Amino acid sequence: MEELVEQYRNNQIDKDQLIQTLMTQYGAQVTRLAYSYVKDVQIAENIAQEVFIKCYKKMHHLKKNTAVKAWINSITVNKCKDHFRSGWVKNLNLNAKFMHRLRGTAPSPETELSQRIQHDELTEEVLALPFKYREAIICYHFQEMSINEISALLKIKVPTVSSRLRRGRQMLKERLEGDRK
Amino acid sequence: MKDRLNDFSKKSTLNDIQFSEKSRQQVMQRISAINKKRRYAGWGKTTLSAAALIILLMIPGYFVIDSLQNQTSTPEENLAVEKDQAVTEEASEITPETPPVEELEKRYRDLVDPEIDGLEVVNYNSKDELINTFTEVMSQNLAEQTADDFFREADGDLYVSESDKPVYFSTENDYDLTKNSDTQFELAQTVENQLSGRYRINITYQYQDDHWTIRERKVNFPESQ
Repeated sequence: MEELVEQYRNNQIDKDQLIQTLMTQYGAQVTRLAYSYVKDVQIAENIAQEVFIKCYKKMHHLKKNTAVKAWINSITVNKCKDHFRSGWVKNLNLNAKFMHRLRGTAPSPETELSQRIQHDELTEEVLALPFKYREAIICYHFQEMSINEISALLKIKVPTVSSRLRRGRQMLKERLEGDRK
Repeated sequence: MKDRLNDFSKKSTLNDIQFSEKSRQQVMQRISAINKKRRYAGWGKTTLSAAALIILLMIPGYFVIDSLQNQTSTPEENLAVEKDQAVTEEASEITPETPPVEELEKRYRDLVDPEIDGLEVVNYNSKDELINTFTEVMSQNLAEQTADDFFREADGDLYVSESDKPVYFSTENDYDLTKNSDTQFELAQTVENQLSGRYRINITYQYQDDHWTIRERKVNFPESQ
C-alpha cells in the first residue's frame, strides 16, 4: 500500500485511483472498527464513508513513510469519538432517518431486522464492555495491533494499554464463566 | 479465555460486517461533488481576483473625487453626512437574539455529568480532552475551571471528583435574564433543593463566532456564609 501512495506522490496514479484502492483494502476493516464503537451497521458505514472522504481531502498531508493503516485507523477512531461528542451528529442522523421516512425510502422493519447482526457469545460480551476496555480489546485481539500501535492510536501510555487489556480480559472471563455457572 | 481471544480475529461475527458497494459508490459521488465544487471555487477565485483588482484601481479615483467634493461642501453638510453614516452603521450591526439558556444548560449538564464506571469517566481519558469538548458550550476559562473543579486525573485515567459536584439552574422555575449588552446576557436564579440546599446562581452568556456560549458561572450559598 505504501508503494501505491508513493506512486500517487510521483503522479503515476491519481487521487481517485488511490482512494478506490484504499476502500478495497481497508473498507471492511474501517467499518468493523467503527462498528465496535457505535454498534450499528448503518452508522458504522456512514462513519467509514466520512473516513474515506477525509482521507481523500487530506491525502497530500500524508508524510513519507507514514503507515497508511495506522493513519486510517487514527482517522476512524477520531471520527467515532466525534460521533459520540457532537450533538449535531445525532440530530443529523435523526433528521436523515426522518427524511427517509418522509420520502418512503426507509428500510422496512423486515429489512431492518435482517440488517441486525446476530453475534457470537464472545463478540457480544466484548461489545458489551465499557468503552475504554472494549477499544483496547478490539484493537489488540481483533485488529491485531501491537500494544505500542494501540498506545499511539489511542494516545495513551503503554502501561495503560496493558492494564486496560488485563482488566478487559478479566471482565470477559467473569462474564463468560459467570454465565455458564 | 486467552485461547478464545487468540481466535477472536478469525472467528468473530464482526467479520460479517463489510463496507458495502453502495457506500463505496456514495463516497465516489461525494468526491466527484467535491471536485466540481473546487472547479467552481477556482472560477470564483479568478472572478474575485479580477473584481479586487478593479476595486483597487477605483480607490485612488474615489479619494480624488471625494477630496474635490469636500472642498466644495460646507461644514454643516459634512456633519449631516457623518450622522447619516453613523445611523447606517448602527442599523447594520448584527443583533443576536437572546441566548437559548435552557438548551445551553442541558448541554452543560450532559458535558459535566459524563458516563462513569465507578468514579472513572468512560469516554474521556484526560482533562485536555474534556476541555476541548467543553469549549463547544463554554468559554476556555470556564472549561478549564470546570475540568479542575469536578474532575481529577490519575495514572492516565480520568475520574470525577468525590468532593465537588456541579450545580445547575432549574429550567422549571422562574429566572431573571438581564441584557448586559447586545452580545452578553446574565441569568440569575435562587434555587432550593434537598441535595444542594439553597443557593443563588448567576450565569453569564456571551455571543461570539455566531453562537452563544456560557462565559461564567457563579454560585453563592448564603446559608453557609
